[in-house]
Amino acid sequence: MPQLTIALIGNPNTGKSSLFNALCGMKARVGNFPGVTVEKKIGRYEDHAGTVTVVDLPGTYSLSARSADEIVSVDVLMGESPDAPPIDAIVVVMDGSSLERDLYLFSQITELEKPILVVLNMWDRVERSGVVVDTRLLSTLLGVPVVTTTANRRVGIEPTKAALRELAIAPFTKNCGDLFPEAFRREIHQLSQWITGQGFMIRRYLVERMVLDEEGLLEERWSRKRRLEQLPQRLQAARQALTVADCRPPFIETKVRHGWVESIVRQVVRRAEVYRLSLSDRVDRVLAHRWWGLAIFLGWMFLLFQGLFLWDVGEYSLTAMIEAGLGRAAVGVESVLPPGALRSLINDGLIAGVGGVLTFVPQIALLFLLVAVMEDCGYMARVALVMDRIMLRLGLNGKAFLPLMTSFGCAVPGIMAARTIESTRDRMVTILIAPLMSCSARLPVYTLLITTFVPTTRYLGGWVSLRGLFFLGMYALGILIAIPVAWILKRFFFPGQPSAFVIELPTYSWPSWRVVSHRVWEQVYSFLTRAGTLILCTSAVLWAAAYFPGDHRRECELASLLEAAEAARSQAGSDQLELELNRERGRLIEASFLGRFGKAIEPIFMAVGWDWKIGVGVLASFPAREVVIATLGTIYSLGGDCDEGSDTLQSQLLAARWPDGRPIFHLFTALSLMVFFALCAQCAATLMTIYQESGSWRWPLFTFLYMTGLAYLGAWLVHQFGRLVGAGG
Amino acid sequence: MGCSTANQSGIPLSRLRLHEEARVVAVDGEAAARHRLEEMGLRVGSRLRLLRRESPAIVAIEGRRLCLRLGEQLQVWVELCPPPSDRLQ
Repeated sequence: MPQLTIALIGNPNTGKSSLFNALCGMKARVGNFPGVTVEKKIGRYEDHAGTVTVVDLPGTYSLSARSADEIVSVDVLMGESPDAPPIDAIVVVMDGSSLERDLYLFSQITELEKPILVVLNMWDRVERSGVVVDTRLLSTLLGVPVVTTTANRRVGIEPTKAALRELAIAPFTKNCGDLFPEAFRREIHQLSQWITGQGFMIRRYLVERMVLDEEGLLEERWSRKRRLEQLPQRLQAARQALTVADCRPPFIETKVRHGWVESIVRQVVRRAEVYRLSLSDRVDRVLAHRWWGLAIFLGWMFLLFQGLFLWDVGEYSLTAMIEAGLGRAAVGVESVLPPGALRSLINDGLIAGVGGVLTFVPQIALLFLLVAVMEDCGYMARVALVMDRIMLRLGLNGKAFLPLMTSFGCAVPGIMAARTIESTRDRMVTILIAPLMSCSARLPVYTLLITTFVPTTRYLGGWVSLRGLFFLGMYALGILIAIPVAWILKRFFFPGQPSAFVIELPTYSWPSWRVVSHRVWEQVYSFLTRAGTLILCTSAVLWAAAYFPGDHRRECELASLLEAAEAARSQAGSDQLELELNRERGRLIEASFLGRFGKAIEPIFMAVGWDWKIGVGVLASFPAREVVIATLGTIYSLGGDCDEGSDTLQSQLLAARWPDGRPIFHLFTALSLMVFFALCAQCAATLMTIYQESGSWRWPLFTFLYMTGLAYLGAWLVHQFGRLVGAGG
Repeated sequence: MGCSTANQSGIPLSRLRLHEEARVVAVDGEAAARHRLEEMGLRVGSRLRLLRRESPAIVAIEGRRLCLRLGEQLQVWVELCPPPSDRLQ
């Protein structure tokens, strides 16, 4: 059979992704099974007989179908998922040093009655630790072929491919017999007969799962079919009968399967009897220590953030190159199109908006890289451990930390990372407070305002700068606000006990650069496509609001004249023209829908110490914060290519005055603006991601309302405090 | 295999001495958490050693390291296993 489709399944931390990468390389299609957060990864490789398609299923400890994510694996394996091809064979990936645990899943997989290949991965570790595993005996006892691999070193890959080909032609023999007691099998049989009697074909395995997974999704799905309305009652009756017969679900399953696993392991694994602390344990004495572990982690985080801001600066940095590239694209458009609506749409709307996103990619990619390395080497689990006590105060557990940390780079992947949190309640609370973590897009605003309004005072002999403290303060603000918000969410919206914290600490190992780079690439790509497309659309809409209505003929005239002057290298002429052009643009934005709206609601802005110009800038930054600087530049008649380092924009801000002559901007106005940006939900991409991850429009709407409300309140409080203290008008 | 089952009450896991082998006799808590633990290898009859007491606790079980927060939501009861005479120390 030339075309073969296999599924990869296994416990988490067995190196399954390494195996997938080793088999298929980087050429995998990643997507989402619709309706669930489980990622669909399908890859391909060629061998001597033809093409093999590999479907990578998420790591799972068991095949129970309690959540939507788990049921996807069941559906795919049974060939009943419309989004994946039917499976010819299943590869169960196990950690060679942990058969006692990994065989549990295997015992469930055999019930699917498909050809299986067992891969004992991380074999190098088994050989080093002195544990002896009789793979031949294991293969006989399990009735399936067994290969050993060290996937991250590409050892054992060819034998795996060969074994898969042989598997495809060999028939399936189930060798592990029937594990469950007679009473259990009888109930299942009766139930199956009843369902068949109602006219439905159902496999015995699914009936078993329905009985064992109380309130699971399989039960829900099948109860909705016509003539099966009685199903829930019948299932309950079966469970009660089984409880009486000493076969209480779900514990009967774990008891029976673990008994079987133990009988196999006893014959096949010989462990060194002397118990000794592994190297990992010794390292954990420090890294997982209550205080030292926390101190080390915070120190590492401090370095990481410093690095994030400082690593990519200067003329030859990636960010500069991206900006240069965008600038060249804009110039290119200018040379092709005459001044007019289309050119403005492309340059000022699309390129400006999308460009804003692209310039963040180097920073975000670095954050992803560091997180991926920490995950792959095993340190991330220790971070969850160390942060658990603190997270507990928020009503969450340690697993919520990683999504929140990622949100400091960008909330979109941060919210997606919350999928690892099992408890729905904890997951939702984490998702709803993630946007409060100041993301990279807020940084230009902070930079502009802090460098303009905060003096460069230094303390402690030059080690600590006042400006640095302000930056730190803005980041801390988000965190501090998140604490009461999380408390309120937990108390009123997601009540219940804090969820149990159970996590495995994998052995430390060198990260595999293949796995890490693959993950970073996947995340950056997903960020660009998700955030990017949304920002593109909203930039276009925003451009329209700031462009229409308005007579742009004078502007176009000036722009053409300016180009001619520049071509003729007339310096004085082009300076004068540029000044007039910028002034004209400032006038146009004032007359646009956006400008008019801003002026109309100016009282709302004045209450927090802003004028309509700042208000319009804030409004314009609602879909994506990145555009605020450019918008402010335009409004203050400086043209749209300002950035936060522009002294002209800074001096314009300092010189801005109310009609009566008072300066608009002083420290507290700047602070109120920063506080607004820190707390406001101004990212359509984040709201979209919340919708996708929560499955309902309620939550993005809720997030938008609560954050904008908090932001306005915060800005108002700062402004009032400023007035009290007598700073400025 | 050398562990007596005469007395079932056992002691809470957090009161175990570090690095001593013990056998799980009961797991108390919310069903979902218990089931999760079982799937990860911690169930009645498993042998474990306590590596760290402060919450969250770390136990060594079946060659792996599990980290769990013990308390009102989740409690594990164990009893000591006397070392069999034929084992090396």
